Amino acid sequence: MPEITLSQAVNQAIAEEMRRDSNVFLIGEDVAEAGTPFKVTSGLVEEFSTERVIDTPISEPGFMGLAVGAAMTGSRPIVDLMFGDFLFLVMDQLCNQAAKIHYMSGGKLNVPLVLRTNLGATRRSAAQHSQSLHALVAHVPGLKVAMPSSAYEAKGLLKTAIRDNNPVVIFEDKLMYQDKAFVPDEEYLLPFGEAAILKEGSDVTLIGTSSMRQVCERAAILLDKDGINAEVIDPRTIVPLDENTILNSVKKTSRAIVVDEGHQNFGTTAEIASRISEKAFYYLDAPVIRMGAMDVPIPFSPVLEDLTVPTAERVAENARKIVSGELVHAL
Amino acid sequence: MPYEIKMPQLGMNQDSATIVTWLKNEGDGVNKGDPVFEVETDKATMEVEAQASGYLSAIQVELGVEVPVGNLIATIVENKKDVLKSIQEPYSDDKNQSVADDGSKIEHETITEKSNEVTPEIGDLSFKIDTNSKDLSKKTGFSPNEKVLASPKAKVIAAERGLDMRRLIARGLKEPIHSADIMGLQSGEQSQLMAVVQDRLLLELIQTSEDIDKGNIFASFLLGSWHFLFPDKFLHVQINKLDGSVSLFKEDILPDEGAEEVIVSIINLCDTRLFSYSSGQNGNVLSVSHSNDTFILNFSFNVADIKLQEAAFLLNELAERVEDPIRQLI
Repeated sequence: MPEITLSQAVNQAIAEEMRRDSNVFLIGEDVAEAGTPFKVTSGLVEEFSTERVIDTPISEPGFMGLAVGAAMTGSRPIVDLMFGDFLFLVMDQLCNQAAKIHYMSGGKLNVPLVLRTNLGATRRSAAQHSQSLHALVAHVPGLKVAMPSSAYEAKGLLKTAIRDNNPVVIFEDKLMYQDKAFVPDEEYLLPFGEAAILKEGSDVTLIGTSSMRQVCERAAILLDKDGINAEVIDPRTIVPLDENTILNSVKKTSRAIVVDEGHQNFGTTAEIASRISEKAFYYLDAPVIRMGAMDVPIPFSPVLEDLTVPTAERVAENARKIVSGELVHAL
Repeated sequence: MPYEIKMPQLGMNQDSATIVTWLKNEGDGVNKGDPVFEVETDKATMEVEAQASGYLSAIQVELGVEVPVGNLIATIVENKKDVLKSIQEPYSDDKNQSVADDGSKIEHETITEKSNEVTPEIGDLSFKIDTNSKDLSKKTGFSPNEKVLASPKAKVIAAERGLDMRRLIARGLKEPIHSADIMGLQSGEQSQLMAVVQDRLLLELIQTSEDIDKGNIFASFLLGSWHFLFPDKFLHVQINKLDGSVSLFKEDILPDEGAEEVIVSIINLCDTRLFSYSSGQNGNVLSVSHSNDTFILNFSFNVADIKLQEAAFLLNELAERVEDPIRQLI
């Protein structure tokens, strides 16, 4: 099993699906010759030509709308949105059109579209290029939201997304493009709505999305030294969310910390934490802790920026508090 | 069956409306299709027609008050004698008749007056409820607002095992209580000791006064034994009666801060044929029964609270005091 980067995994997934299905095409800013700023799509234009790897003008609403129309009429576009922050520009095309057309047409039309974009701070890109806005689209019924946490998930989830007959937004962490993971030679798909238990434990459940999975895994190693056995879960997709895996884990451990890089207020952590509180309340031995990004525009100053996102140390610190039975009202 | 007039939906996005004029009075005959009242929505004012024939009855809403769509406004009844003034009002034929003959404005005033009359009644009722709940809290002996800080899981386990959180706290458990604290308690197992004691001297002593309660005697003997043996630990003695009531045996000395506290319940079975009692809870219970010229002291205790050796000393000392009450005075 070869070890490849997340960037290569995404590239492979797109290439394999484009070879398999001639209706699949890639569209976005700088996807062809430049291969995106993160070099994710490099080489695809050589194989599939500019007919199927389409560079667009700098007009996100324009190419997003075009892709929605193409999807409605039989194509399977993969839209590359250079930064997750640009989601605000395509809100109408994505949320009012793509998400609702199947419903509004009485089921006669499908929008088999994949919007690939990214999230994640600490890349020194300042407030307008560092946001993690997945909760924003997860809020809209009709959109599926996948959040790969390594090269393995990135490839498997993207291939599933491309084959899905409904719009899917997939968020890759821009800091993880060069991170390597083992990926099988043979073809594989990862189903939506199936969380992965990365480490089994008995004392506290750490739920981490995207790169926060690694944060949780590192926190689990720190906690292990203190004799605290943490279970680590990666939901993989937040819409649909694999509630059962999370609830079963919390019923076992009685404690949970939800870690996500989106802003904490009204965010993914709030949604998952409230489902735990609602559905596993009588199993809880401590308040469910949310850890999201600080509710501020992501600072440009590296020192300040690093403070805004959850770290393994802070996750471990909170876990120690709730496992020791400290009276915790707010952390 | 009276026909119910409800606030109609008059526009797509309208969810409430205000009645501005009544076109019929309570008791008036109405035909299906007759306009009954005028409503004002945020867009327009329009008349609402009766959907049934009969007599207008039991108007529920005041003029000028916003009423949600679907809310009951009034009813249409088949017979004039069924006409009601309002739901709160007791039915009175004469009253209805006289008001029904009045004009609409006067009638509206009458209704306002009536609702004023009703208010004190409601006030009385809520006052009664208040006093009831006060009595209740007096009976149970604790305020229902006294919250125990415990996790949901800890509460579930405590409930499953019939443990009272307040009692656990009195036994020295620190808040917030977590499941592990309760599981820990469970590991403290329940043990039992029994002593049989001659009754002669104590009964002689008790006979000198009619109104001495045996439960209180044993409680004070138990306290005396405890202080004699374990001056550093504080004992609360509570007296459980067979009717389920629980009272704390009064003690002037209060525990020192940080002193270990133990609760022992005494249950007096002397005047019954009952022999021994052990609680479903993991507490410490001393049951005292009487038969064949002897007192039987049955001490069921939690080893997490009282060690076997301590319990043995305690019961032995208590038995000696019962047998020879003079010891209690020394």
